[in-house]
Amino acid sequence: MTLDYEILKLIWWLLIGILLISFAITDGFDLGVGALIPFVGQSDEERRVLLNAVGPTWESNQVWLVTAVGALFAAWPLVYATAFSSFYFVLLLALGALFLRPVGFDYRSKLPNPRWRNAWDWGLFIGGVGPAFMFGIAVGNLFEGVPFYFDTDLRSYYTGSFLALLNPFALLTGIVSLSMLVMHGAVYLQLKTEDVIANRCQKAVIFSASVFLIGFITCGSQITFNLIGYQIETIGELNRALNPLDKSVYTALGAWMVNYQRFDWLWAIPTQVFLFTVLTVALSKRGKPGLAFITSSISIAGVIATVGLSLYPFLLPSSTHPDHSLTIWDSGSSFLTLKVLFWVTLFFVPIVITYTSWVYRILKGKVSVAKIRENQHTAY
Amino acid sequence: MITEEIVDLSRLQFAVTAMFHFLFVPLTIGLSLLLAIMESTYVMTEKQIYKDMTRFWGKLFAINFALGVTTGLTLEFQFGTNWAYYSHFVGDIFGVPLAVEGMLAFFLESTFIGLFFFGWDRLSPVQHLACTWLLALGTNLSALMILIANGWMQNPVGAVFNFETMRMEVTNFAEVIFNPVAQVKFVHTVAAGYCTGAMFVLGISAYYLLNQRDLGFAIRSFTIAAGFGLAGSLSVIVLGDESGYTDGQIQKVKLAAIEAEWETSDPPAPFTLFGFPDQKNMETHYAIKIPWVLGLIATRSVDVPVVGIREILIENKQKIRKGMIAYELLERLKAGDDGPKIRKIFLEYQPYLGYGLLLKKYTENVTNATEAQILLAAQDTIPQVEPLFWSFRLMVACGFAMLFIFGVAFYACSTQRVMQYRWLQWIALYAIPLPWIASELGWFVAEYGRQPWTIAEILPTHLSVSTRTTEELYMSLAGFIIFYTLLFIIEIFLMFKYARLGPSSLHTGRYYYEKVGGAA
Amino acid sequence: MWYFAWILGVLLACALGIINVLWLEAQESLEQESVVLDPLTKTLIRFEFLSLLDVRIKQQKITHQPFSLLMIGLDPITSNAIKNRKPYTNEILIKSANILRDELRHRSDILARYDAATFSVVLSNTYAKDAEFVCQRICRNSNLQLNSTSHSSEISIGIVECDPHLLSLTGDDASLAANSLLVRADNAMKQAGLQGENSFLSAAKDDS
Repeated sequence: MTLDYEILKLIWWLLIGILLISFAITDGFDLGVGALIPFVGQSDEERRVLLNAVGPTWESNQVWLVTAVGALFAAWPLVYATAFSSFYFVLLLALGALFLRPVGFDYRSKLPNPRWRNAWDWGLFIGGVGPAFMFGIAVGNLFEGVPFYFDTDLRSYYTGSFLALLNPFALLTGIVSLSMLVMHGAVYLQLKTEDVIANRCQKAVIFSASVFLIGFITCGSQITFNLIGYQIETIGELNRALNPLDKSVYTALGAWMVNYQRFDWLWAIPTQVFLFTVLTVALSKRGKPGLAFITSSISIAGVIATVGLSLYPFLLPSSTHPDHSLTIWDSGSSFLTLKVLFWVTLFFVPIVITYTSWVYRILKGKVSVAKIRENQHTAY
Repeated sequence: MITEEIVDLSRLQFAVTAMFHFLFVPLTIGLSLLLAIMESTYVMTEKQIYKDMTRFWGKLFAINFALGVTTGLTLEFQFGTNWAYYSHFVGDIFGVPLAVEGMLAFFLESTFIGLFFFGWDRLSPVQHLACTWLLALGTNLSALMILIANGWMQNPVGAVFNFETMRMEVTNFAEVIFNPVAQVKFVHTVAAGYCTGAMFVLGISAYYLLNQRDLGFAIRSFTIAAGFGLAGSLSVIVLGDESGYTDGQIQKVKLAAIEAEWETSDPPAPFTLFGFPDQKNMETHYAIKIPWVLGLIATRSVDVPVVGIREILIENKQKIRKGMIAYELLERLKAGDDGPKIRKIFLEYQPYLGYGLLLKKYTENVTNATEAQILLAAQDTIPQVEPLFWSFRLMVACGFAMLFIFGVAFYACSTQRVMQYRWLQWIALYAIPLPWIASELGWFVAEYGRQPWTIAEILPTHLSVSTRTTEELYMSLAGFIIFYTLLFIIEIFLMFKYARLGPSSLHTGRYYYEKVGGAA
Repeated sequence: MWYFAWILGVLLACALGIINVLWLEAQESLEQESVVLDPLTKTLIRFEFLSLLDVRIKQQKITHQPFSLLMIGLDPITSNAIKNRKPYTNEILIKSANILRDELRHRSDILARYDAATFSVVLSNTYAKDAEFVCQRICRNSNLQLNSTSHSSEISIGIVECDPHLLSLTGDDASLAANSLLVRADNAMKQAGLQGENSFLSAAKDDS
């Protein structure tokens, strides 16, 4: 198979998308569970049930985030550099929230003091809500464009502020992201728990799914009617290493919809989000959380795919200097890097998925209060 | 824009977060292998006590691992948030080991750590043992990837500068992976991790021996740690020597700075054991020198000289001048004047571009820099000698101290005399901080000795930072320090609590506090 | 080439750790074999016990940690019953030894068959009041396990706490110190026997 540079750039766009989807589907439910702990768990033992439902596998799930960021660094270093330095405090706040997770899970039940335990429960709550919300805010800002420019050395200068990143649309996408992951987490919990706790999860699914859908549709209409979109006007040969300063970009109201106008069938993807979310709620109410988990995952994948497809081929648009926007064609790594990393990823990711699923299989089964009591000193 | 304050704050923040991260990593690396050893012994002998050992030391491992993960995330984010230009400039090469680290190593350790703790009842002993070995493998592999990355910073092989995309681009990944600096650093660093794990177990076991508690448990842990630690400390010293030799070939400035080798002495050069280096006057006061030693160690010969700082300074001034030409050519290329002739000349001067970039600290107009500015830039190429000089010596002293302790401990174990040597138990307990001190000093030497470069001879540090404001930097730095301090206090509190408790914390009914008075 | 060296080195280091501890295990089992045990109850015999007691007393001078000596007597297994070879005596002795063993910590505490119907125990790093908790458990277990349809027996336990100054009081003579401890424990045991079924008693502080 001859992989030329242009195809590799496209493949890497897909791969990063897949890595982000994997992150959302796996670590996503861990984050959702974190957000649910203080509400679905109403006694110390119930909360321990929730912790242990995700405890053994959550750390492995978080590695999807680490890998996605690492792959972003390796495949789109300019995007990684520009986005991370521009979104400085958004990312550092997400990071701070993420800090609370490993220590929260491991240290929470090590002391019997109820105030200690309660504090860590809320710490895990922050650890779930914070990243979910912040990542959503980041995505919202991608749609709106970020005020930055490059000099001829390709050094980036962000000219906005932290508070500017917390604008209404971004807050909305933050809520969409959070509610989507809470829904996913609630479904997973319903799968892994029994009786009272599972019932509370069902209610959480309905509530979060509703918020999610309303938010998603509102975002969609905003993007279609109210947001300025970016499209490439002229660009160099896609098969070569391009400099992002060498292209021209035009902006227009609703221009993010251009891709959908070109390819009608793309509408299936955001539509699927709506359908599968409704399906998730229905399945959850019917007491089929396993299937609901699958539909919920598909729905989440659809959300991320929608974002990627709407923005395509842009990765990080610049609102002040549209020509300096970063696209998949001109901000990627060299041909050799993309090629080597592609084969490496193709080799390792299936292996990872294989042994990860083996681990999930070994650890399958519901977590109950009785089990916690039995394993007081070894459970989380 | 970028001020020196921003550069200094960014450096400080990275140093603080990286050194804090490295408080937890070596213990993870070493203790994971010790767990694998203990569990292997359990599977081989079927004696319950080894399973208890695996589970107890595993508890301490978990307390440590949590903060290892926490602090590791910071570093992955920080390249982008605070070192954006660096990330763009070398991401083509540097990003790859980081991405592979995730796919290969982190998945391995994070997935199997879950089974390690929660799979005892669901897996056969051999299956569970396999999980522990995979966990240990994962931790060691992550060290491999990150040291390939860091090794490339010290010796940037297999890559060239592309002026069209204004960054370094890889030409040969095999060279990057088999970079001699990466190889040596990797084995040296994991060996340091093995010493850390071993000293941790040795010291805490000694504590139980001193208190005449859980003797069977303690003596077995002590014995395993002694054997493993002896091998680890021998390796760390041998690889340290190899590291010095590699520095002598590839990073001559670093070696000269560490040894306060101001002049190129007649080979074989003498080794300065003690003294007070004086950077301004380029001499060492009250120096105690041992003849021939430095030459023999660093060059492994009697006739190859160790290049002195004065000589390097002169060489570097020349390099800077060539760099100025390279910079001028680059500017012309960027402006569009890129005919084949000018490209050919640029290729000739390209290796010195980095040296030219050093001048950007003092003037935007690199091509017409003054003599005074060139001198300042040249002086910048020599790192601060005094901190390096002392850090290195202290680190080596710690290393030899550990070797001595492990050696005696191993001897005592082999002759069944551990119980008698109470003085050994005391030393083992109070020696616990040694490997940590040595590790942090080692990283200081490695990174501070690489200044003024982030990528040696290619990208100066002061050009590598993100364009942030000083207020933002102060806030993030303060945030990290406060948050980390809090977490650290909590971690140390829990670590001490469980270490003091010992295997009674497993609640098996077999150990000290469970038999008497039901204390724990 | 260092990568390969590492692979070999790690395996070597792990092997060294394992071999070292297997060597320890081998030495220990050799030691175990050379120790003479009472064939019936598999506990130490008196001779070994006394020498270990001496060692403990000497150690205590350095470590300054107290230990408790327990004398556990079984009634109504008197010497007569043993002479008459009643069938249940062996069973009771074995059961008692097991009850005691369950309460003790591997390698820290010492269990010995002091006499035909008496066991002696050393609890390391234990004050008398903590030893009393242990005795409570022993008594409770005895009550449950040493009673059956054909026979019943009771135990009585005497506790004496050895404090760090003891050795200095006897002028550094360990066996003298040991002797005084054993006498006091014995007395306490007999007094406990008078108190009632399955009971224990701590010796009063220093009545020698």
